[in-house]
Amino acid sequence: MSDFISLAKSMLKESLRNRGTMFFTLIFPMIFLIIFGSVFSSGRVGSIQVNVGVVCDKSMKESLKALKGPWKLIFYERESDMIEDRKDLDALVWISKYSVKILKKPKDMSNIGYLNSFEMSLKTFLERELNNVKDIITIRERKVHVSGMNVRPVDYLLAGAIAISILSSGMFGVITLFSHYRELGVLKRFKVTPVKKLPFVLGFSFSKFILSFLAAFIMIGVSILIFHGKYSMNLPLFVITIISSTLGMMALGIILSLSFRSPTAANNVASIILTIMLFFSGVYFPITFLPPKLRIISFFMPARYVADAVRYTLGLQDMSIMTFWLINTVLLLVGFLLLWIASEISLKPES
Amino acid sequence: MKKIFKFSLYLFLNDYIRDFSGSFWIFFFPLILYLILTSIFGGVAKGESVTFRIGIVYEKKSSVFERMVSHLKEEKTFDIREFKDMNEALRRLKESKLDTVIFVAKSFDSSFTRAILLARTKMKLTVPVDVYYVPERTESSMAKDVVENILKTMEIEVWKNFGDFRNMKVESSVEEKAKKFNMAHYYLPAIAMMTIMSIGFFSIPYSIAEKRERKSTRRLLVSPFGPGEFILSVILNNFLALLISFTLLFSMGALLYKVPRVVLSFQFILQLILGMLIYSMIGLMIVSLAKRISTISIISNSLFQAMMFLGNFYFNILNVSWGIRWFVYINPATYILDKLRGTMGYNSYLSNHTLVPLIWLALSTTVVISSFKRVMEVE
Repeated sequence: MSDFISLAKSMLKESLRNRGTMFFTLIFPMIFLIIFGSVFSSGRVGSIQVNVGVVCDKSMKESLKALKGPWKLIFYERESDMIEDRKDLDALVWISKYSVKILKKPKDMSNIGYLNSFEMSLKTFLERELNNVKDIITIRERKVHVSGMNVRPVDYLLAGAIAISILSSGMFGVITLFSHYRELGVLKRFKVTPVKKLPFVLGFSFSKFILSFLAAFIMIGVSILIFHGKYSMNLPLFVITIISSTLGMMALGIILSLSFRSPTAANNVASIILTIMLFFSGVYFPITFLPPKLRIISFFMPARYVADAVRYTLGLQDMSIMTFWLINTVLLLVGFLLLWIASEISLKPES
Repeated sequence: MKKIFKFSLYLFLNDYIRDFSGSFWIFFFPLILYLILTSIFGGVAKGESVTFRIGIVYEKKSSVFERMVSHLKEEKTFDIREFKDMNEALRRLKESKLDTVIFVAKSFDSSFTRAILLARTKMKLTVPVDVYYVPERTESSMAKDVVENILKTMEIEVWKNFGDFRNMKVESSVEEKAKKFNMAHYYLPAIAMMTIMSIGFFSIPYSIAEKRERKSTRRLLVSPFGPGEFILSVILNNFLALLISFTLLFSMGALLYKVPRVVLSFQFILQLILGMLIYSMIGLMIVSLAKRISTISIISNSLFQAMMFLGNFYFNILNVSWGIRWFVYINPATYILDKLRGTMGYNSYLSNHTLVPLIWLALSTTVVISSFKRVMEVE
């Protein structure tokens, strides 16, 4: 026990004194959080500015204003005025009694979907007006919030970002230990001490957990302070998720450390894996937006499950308790097993 | 001059051929990232790959509603599942297994028939349909909007059965430029810029800082190979790396995505060279201001990520809040990339592409010249 406490204390102090470690564990994820939170605060990138120029009869102008959506209708009395302004418009629309002509020219191609949606809505709207179509169906929108709180898209996104930071901290942290320390000869020196393998590994893991907790809580604090985040946190389950996901990702870091002798190579591969996880975990955009053939990759991404677990513990997404425990148990078991294997291999006395 | 070229070649072999990390990040990682981005976003931009998972709960089987949604089941965009239990459907919605849930009440058929009969009278009657969604999930909000549009469109189909329905003639066209849009082509300059920034923020400062810590730069100061020649060699070495990286990138782009040859035009290459020069000087500025490799790492990583995500690389950032938009406008990458895309025929968001990059070039060059000795010496 005293071995574990001494090692945990010294490794924690070493991490806290290491400017690089502290920056990448605490500050760097916050930079991402602030950037992505600011960019995606409305649930989309910035505020949508699809400007649609419209030339139509005066009588139609008032009723067209009822056409709601992520577009701004700019009315022109004369066609020549609209054409003069065409550079600032994403679409030009000419409406007469029985026909409509639309020219789509998005300034930003990512808005083509909104213009297609506008075209569909406009056609429907005009046909209804023309034929005096009355409502037959009344659509009642029912908002569903998991926690009962009025949560926003940015809260959902930031919870995923917190998950990614926990994962990267766990994965890169263990590469530092098993590759970097091995290269520096630190592990060799530990082999000749009376310190046993298990306390050594646990001492190191403990320091990583502390940093992961710090990082996670700082990020939640920042998202609440800056972005007025709303979370209904289940603290015990959140703590369990941090422990298991840190441990699980440490397991992945171990696989890389054992597979690549050089810490640089292990770091590079870890960076590729993190990049792939960013795109395929459903954190920054939904998995159902991925091409169907690529969606299967998300099933192999630990980040997907950790992001779901973090959202569950923050009251943003529901999950059966069995699924929650299954995710955490697998991460814990795999993490412990691989840590033990790595310690056996790395700290094995030389013959 | 010959000395400079020889030393550049030596640095290139040392930094990029012998060092796996150097060659990986500059030559291979851009190709991997390009492949990932085009695979994912190529279909998303056209809305081709999106799937909306819709749950329909029938309080009582409704032949009318089933007929209304029958054609949707054949479309790949919709994954429609039917439920008998509302709680089960809502549970799946909350667990992100569904994007939206439609509740069809047991009286739907009879109410719908009555509503149609009374539609043209003064006694109006409408049939309520509840659409459940989770507003904090983007895909759920989008699915809800799509469902609402579909239901409103179906009302029109019903109304057409009354006879003498006037169709609205719609002539829709897309501007030629927009028709030619290709995500793979659009991302190529972004990947090239990312490579330039990687060289500027990582390759140059780390390479010099490591030599400085080993005191190799100090030894150079007493050799006939002067510091100015050393700096020039560093810049040339990295220009060579960029040349190889861009050749690989363009080759992959041309082979897989038929990237147009306009990227080999003089204007495009000139912009790349300007970008490389600016970021080389920024890299030298970082290594002149920061003593330790850990400090360089912190500054470089922060600036690299901020400039990449706030440089219009992957999505339009110019309409975000001013709290962050100011950075986009002072970021030289925004202008260089906008100019590169403009050269390829895409819309340009900015009018003046020269001022901000040149300010950065002037500023970083001034700092490097004034703290020149710090680049070379260990303090």
